[in-house]
Amino acid sequence: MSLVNLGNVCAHLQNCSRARIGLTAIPYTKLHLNFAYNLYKHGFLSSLQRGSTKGPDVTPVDVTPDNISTRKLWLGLKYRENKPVISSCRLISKPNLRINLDAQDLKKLCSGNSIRLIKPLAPGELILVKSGTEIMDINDAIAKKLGGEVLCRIR
Amino acid sequence: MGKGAAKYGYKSGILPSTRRILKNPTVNQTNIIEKIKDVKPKGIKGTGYADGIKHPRGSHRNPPPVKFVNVEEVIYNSVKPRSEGAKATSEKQLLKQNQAELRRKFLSESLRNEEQRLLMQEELLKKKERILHEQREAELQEINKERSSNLTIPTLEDIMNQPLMRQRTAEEQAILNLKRKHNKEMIEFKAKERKLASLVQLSHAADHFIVTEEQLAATVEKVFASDNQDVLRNKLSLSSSQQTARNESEISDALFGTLGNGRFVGLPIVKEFLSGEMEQFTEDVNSKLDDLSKQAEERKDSVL
Repeated sequence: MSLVNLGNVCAHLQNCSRARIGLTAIPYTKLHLNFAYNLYKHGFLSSLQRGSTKGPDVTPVDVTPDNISTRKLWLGLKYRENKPVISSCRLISKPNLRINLDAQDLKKLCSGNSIRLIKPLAPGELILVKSGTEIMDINDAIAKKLGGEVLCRIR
Repeated sequence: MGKGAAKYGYKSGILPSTRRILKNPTVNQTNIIEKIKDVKPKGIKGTGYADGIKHPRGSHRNPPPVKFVNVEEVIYNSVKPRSEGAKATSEKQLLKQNQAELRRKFLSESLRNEEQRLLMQEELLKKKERILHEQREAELQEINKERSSNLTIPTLEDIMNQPLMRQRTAEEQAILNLKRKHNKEMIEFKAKERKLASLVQLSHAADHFIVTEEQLAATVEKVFASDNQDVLRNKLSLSSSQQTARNESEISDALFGTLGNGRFVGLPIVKEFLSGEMEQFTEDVNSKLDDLSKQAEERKDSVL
């Protein structure tokens, strides 16, 4: 899993939101799919579709080694009162400084304390945590008592 | 680091860590014995030095073997029981002997108790670990409990767990392999054909190669005999008319499968000849011509 690629996608989403773009594509990988799914689940995206470089699929297309290079994930961005729902999307753990926290530290972060210079979770904010191979919301990680790498924060 | 209380964050009254009563593990501490007997992991995360890698000077290549002690032996070696023959002759001596006996008793008791404490600690730690593990299992079970909503709502999480891409089936793979093989062979064949075409061209051109001195002299003589420099200039220059003529000759060569503006036989004609196609074609043409001539004769007869 590459934090560089995740950072690129975060910056891309931020840029698209600021440019008021409705539909955008990100690479089709497991990491990006999980990331986008979490955003969708928490209401930051209006749609999440599979598609090719030309646009979202109208009819479902089988992904095979022949067409994998043209596959993309298409995300629908949300706006409310002409303001983007995603105003900021940033990495917390950096490629050069990975931050792994245990469940207790994550809990502290959620209850308003700063941990290792990470600002506490604000209302309406989403922090994604990677535990093992799974990417989940910080609250899910705390409920499951799992620690992991603190990936990014979206608000 | 400061001095005195500064060493302990300006907190006084901190006692130093207690020294261990038993300096080595005892023979009854089975978990430590097992841990030592375990095979050490090798590789990047393993311990020790690989073959051919030197260890730092002043250090040991292998850690010193752990020494296990028997508490009873330790007691016997440190405080030996009083010899049988020694009897107190005076009151003072008796008191001393009693005190020595007490010391002996207390020391051996403390060593035995320490061993028991260590064993108990080990057992309690194991128990604690087991309880924590069980607790965690129960919590996870509660979280991952099958809910009725799982059966009614199609979850996106299920889709997340599916593989991202469908691998090629054996049939598709076989077709792909065939396609690749065909492409490779086609490229090789075309390259060979190009080589053959240039070989045919070379063989035609070789007729006019100057290989002997006589031929060279004759050619030079021929070229300069005309003494017409304009002809020579025209031959060497690249005028537009010449370029067009060259293009035309190339087009006609490509059309009819010849070389040198129809003067020589090209590769397509050679191929036709070798495959017998040419012969077939001439036979067909001849048979048709014969038919036509017969028909014409018949018509002539009928007219007459």
